Amino acid sequence: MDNYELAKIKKRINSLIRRKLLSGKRIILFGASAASKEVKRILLDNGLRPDAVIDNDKRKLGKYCFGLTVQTPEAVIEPFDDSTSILIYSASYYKEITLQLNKMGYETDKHVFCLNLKGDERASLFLYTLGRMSRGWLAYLRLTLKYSRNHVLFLAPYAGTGDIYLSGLFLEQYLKSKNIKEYIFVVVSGACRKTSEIFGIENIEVLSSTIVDDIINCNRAFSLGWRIVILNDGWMNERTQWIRGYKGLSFDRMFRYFVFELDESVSYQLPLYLNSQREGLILLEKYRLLPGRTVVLSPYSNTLLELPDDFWKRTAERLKGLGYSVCTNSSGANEPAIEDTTLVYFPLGQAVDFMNAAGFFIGVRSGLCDIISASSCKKIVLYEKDGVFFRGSPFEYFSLKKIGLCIDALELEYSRDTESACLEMMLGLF
Amino acid sequence: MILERLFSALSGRRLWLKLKRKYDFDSGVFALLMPEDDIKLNFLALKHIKDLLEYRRASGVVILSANEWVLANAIRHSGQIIDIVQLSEKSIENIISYAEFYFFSQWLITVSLDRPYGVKARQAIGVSGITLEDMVCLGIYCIRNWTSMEA
Repeated sequence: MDNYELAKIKKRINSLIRRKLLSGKRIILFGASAASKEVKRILLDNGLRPDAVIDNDKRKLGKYCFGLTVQTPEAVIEPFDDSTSILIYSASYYKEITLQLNKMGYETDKHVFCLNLKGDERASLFLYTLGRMSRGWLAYLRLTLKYSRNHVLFLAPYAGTGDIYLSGLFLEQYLKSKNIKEYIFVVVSGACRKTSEIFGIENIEVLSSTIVDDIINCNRAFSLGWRIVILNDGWMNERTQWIRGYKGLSFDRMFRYFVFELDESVSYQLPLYLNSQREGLILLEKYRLLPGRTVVLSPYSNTLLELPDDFWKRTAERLKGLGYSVCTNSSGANEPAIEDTTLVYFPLGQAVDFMNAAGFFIGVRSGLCDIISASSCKKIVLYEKDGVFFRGSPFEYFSLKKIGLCIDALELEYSRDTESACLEMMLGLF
Repeated sequence: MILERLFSALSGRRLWLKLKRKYDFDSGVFALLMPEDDIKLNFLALKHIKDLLEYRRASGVVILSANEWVLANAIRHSGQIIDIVQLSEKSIENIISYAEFYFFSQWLITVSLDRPYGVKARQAIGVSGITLEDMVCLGIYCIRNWTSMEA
């Protein structure tokens, strides 16, 4: 999902809510994908809860998608039910899906709502696209005026810090292989900037995510030949996105091959840490947490599943019972503390120090896991069991061990069915 | 160059609208634009039309090409080809230019590893056992449950 898509989804859902087209309805999400998470999150932020996720892809049936079981359309929305609202997010299939639902009796814009940016042939959309490209052009000019035209422009269009961390691992080798001396490194959030700084990356610029898309679009549409490297393995309809997880193509291998064009013989350039705990100890003291006996819970992720609150609550209770102090890592107001835990914020640049001092980490797989993989703390990383991430499972695609970032993490696949077993295995580490 | 690309995209839009009116693409018909001279790529694209239509619940395809092999052989590969339209190289380039502007229709599929979305699909062939057939079915046709025999 590109940045314009995300903005559009938020706007579209808010508009549906204002027009009272979702309240009191049975809300069905059509399409089980990473994008479903964004849709679900926006709905939850607005006090709405999806009732089911449906998909035509047989591989996904019966699997969990962010807490809901994926079912066939026939099982959920047949026979016709007038109180059903179906939200489609599918960049490639939405017209086919709309046709399919229309045949089942559901009317577009009454029961069926497409959340995508609906590309079509209107002249106004053509002009709008041109306007966006002009904006991209100006942004590019500003950057080249500040630096130079000879600088290679690295664009990281996705806000996930994991993408930045992976890029940092390969960047030095890429610069050498292409003999690049000067570059600009564009990211779309403060967290991404902090992650870049861990690697000593220079000339970091933070731009709005939509402007980054505009630069990419402009270069593509006009074949301008700007020296741009897109730090993503399948951005903006790039066809390689569909082979993620296929034939063993994991997160790191996708970046290695399709972003940085490096073969397996090239090793990572890990960031240099002083391996100190000093900054971490200061932070622990600030939050009144116990050095070496603090468990940092990290329940939030940009891309993957977030586990139910009651699971975290149970975990925190048990750990406290064992004499540990327990805190929740948060990066902002929309990431509240797990009940009865201390809300902590630590700068990403100090994450390893903080974790070294704290001693224990339990989190869902997120970009933070990449960063703290270098820490000596005990690490437990949770993945969605039976989840689908393109052609693989989240574990197959993102496993820290498979990527080779650390060998000492305990990686577990969570589902409601395995919750108790997961909890006991986790506690066995304490 | 910029104006040339802009006019090319505008011409592509005009031609696309004309074809859309004629074949009613929004009713479940794919336009398969085949700009490449790569026989193997074109053969695999034709071979998997049935899988494309089945997976994406469409009713047929219209082939758009300037390539003689495609024009001569397409009909042998699928009974679900509604029409085979011979276009000039220039017309094909114009439609691709339009597609490079923005994603205006999911009913247009360009059978190419390089355009309109960049060259990564070509780089993928041979990596981790990815075949040209994988890229046609997964990357170009978006048949998400595709698995090659050797996978």
